[in-house]
Amino acid sequence: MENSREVSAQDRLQYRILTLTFLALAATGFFFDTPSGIAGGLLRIITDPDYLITDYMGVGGVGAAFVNSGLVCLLCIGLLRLQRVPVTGITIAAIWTIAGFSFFGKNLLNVWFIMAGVWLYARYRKEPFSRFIYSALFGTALAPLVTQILFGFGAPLWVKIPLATLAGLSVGFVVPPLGAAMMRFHQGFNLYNIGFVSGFVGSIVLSLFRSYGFVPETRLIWSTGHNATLAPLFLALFGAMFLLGFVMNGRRLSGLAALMRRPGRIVTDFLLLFGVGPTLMNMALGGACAILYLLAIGGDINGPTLGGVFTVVGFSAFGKHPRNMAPIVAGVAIGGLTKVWGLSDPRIQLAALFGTTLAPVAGEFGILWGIAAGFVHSSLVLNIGTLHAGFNLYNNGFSGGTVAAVLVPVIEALRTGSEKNVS
Amino acid sequence: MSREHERVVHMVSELLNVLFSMGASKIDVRILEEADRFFISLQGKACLDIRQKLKKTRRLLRMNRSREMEEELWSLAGSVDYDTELSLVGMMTDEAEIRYDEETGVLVIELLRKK
Repeated sequence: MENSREVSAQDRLQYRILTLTFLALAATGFFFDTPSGIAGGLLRIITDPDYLITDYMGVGGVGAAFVNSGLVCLLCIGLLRLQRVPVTGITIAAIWTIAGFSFFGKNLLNVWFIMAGVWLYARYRKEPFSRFIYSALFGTALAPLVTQILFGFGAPLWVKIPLATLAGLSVGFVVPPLGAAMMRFHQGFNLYNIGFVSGFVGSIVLSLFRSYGFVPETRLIWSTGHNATLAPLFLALFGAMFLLGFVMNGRRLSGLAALMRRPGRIVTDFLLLFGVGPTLMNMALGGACAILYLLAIGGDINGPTLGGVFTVVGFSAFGKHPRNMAPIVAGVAIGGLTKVWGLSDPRIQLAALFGTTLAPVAGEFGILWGIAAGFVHSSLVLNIGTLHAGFNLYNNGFSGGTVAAVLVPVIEALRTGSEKNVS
Repeated sequence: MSREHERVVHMVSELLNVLFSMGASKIDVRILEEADRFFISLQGKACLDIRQKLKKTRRLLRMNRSREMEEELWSLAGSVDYDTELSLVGMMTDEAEIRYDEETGVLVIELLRKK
């Protein structure tokens, strides 16, 4: 039986859903601001050195942040279509992750340098760019490097433009081979693999910067006061998504329970394994749980936390579900209650949302190990960021990869029996 | 070892995991490389009741080829001993055939992978 596949009618439908979703996201921006306000906001977003944590809602306004996110995603969807990439769970994870991070670090300017670097790598290997498309999309985690050089350094433009281009292209060029190599460290228990890769690359680049006397200041641009508007908006969106999934699943919940029994380790592509209906319902549940968690702890719904929510939604097509995420969030929450920071500390809000990169640990090894992973992650993620000074937007992927790389072999050693599952 | 060979090794390793998990103690592996493709064949006698597992195995190995996913994830195939990543092997395979003789318990897995 032949497994080969072209872009099918099903793919075209899914592309249409994705396009409409992000078109709507961009259009929503115009409810928050005037066209001229949005244009000005976009300019401020594009010219901001946007390493962690830079909330685009604080830099350019809520409207411009929405438009930036929607437009970046629409361009990425166009790229995927152009490359004739079939839609799978990882496609959805990549697009929603980019949508999320386009609220705090990725913009219409800085993502293309990294993607061009990946394209150069494909040319060098004499292979189609489409094979490395996910490295290109996720590799944009390092996009702030480009904007930092362009807009954060005091050098003249004739120095900064070639330097930023060279940095972006070089980083993009090395991401694909590292992606496959680094996967072995955490054995697929860290869902943000390119975040792990980008953490190392970002640390090396920052060390080079520091060698030339550049010491970036830590920054925290964190807007507040949007909960009353954004919470109902996104709860309604996730409600509609759930309903759509329910209808597409023949008005049944079947498949959802089986989906939630999966450990979620890479490669668990819910879209391929369970179809669109259960996957959409799971994505909606993930998003709604994330918003409700933020409201429950007195957190803020803003650019960075929306990034976390969107990443949860996206990866709910590729490994995450409420059952394997809950222990990780519980671990971070226990940390928040017992350590020197509170649950509503901005970085801990993000650690809880993005820490679900470790959901497969809970899914595979159980609730207690999941809590332990979340607990350790909440401390590590606050320290590991200094290595790359926030140039790697997927800081939680860096931390999650490290936690998984250390924790999983220990758990394996302590585990009794050798149960094997066909997954 | 070439990139292609390395990937085939991982695929075979994963399939060996599957056969071991089905209680096979004697397994024959045959790999044939041609200019543009590999034929991979594994045969073993399953000692456990595998009817339920077989259905799942068939479905996962017949997953659509996905070169985009393969590029980053291939190294996970066959990498751990408690979990199998058959869907990944399916994504690295163009054609899959699984035959099981209920009387003798002999299971044959045949894969074709285009380079």
